[in-house]
Amino acid sequence: MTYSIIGSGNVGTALARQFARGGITVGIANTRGPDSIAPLAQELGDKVVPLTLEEALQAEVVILAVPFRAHTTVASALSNWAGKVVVDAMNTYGVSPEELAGRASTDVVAAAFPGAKVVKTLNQLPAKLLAQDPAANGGRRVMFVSSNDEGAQASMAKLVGDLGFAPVMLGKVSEGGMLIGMGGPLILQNLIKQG
Amino acid sequence: MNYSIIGSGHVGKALAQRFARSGVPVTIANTRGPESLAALALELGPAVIAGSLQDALAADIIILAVPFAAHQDVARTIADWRGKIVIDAMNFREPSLAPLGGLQSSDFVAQSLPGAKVVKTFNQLPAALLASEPVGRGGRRVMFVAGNHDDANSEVASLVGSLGFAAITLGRVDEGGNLLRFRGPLVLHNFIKLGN
Repeated sequence: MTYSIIGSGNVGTALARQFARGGITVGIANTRGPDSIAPLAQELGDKVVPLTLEEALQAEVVILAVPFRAHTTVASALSNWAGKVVVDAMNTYGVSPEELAGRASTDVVAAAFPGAKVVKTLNQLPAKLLAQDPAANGGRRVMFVSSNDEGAQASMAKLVGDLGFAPVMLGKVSEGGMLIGMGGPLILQNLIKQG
Repeated sequence: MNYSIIGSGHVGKALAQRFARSGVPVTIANTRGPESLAALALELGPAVIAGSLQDALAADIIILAVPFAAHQDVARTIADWRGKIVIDAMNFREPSLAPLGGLQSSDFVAQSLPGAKVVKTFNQLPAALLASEPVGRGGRRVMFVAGNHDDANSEVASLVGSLGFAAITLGRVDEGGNLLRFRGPLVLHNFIKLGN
């Protein structure tokens, strides 16, 4: 599997840090071009590769770490997302329920990426906590994973595990996925799974 | 609020230990009568009172810690459950919900207890872990809470907190509650919640 992170804000940077820590190669891109990410890549070592947006979209797994509304700009860069896994690591701070037309935000994202298998994860911790070593307090920090596609959910749970977290799969968006949506009970919880 | 536990198997005993350690008074009862519980009550100290089934059913919040099928017998002892909160600490250990008419088990329990507000919690940890000290490793062990009545959920979450756990309320049964089903995504996890 090849991975890329779109977005180099707090969340994108935190994720790049975890890939570097986990020794997993990842591309990272933003709208300002790879030069803007060079210092970060230099700090994190050779596992984190600055790319153009176009290059980053060639990865099999594309992690969206952009402000929520910017996902449509990313989506329009490819006409066909078939075969790709898109990880929704975004949150809908400041986005009104009307704007989502009552839908779960991940379902809104899925509609914008025709053909992609969308998985919600890596969205649920504050960036600072997301960047910390997930091995802590006698266990590993919990990361919930949800998707309407079982296979994609399982492969992203494996990635999250390889990054050092304790993945917990919640099932479909309409089942457990709602719990890691904005204001949901499983968001912003610093949970350590023991054993 | 006063509390009771019905059932003195592994789960009932584990809960009685938690009440005892936390100094929260509780009545415990089973079908064999209070004499069968005298030794347990003596061991656990003054917070745990061995009572009759009748005594236990007088509590405001009743915890069902019996084998799943046995809740029907408990249900029949009261015709009107209005005003009661019943905690479903049971598990329906079958892969299919067909025998329950397709209902999630705590909705099935609620149907058997007309008028009661049913909240699912204490069902999700092995008894040994349930009994052990929830405070440790820099935080508190997580206990999920779910039910169709917000007021009952928060009442029970407050009890769960008094017993030392970090309560996380998942909402209605058809929201987060079904994740607490047998072999569901949120059962049998030993989670420690850090911070508030």
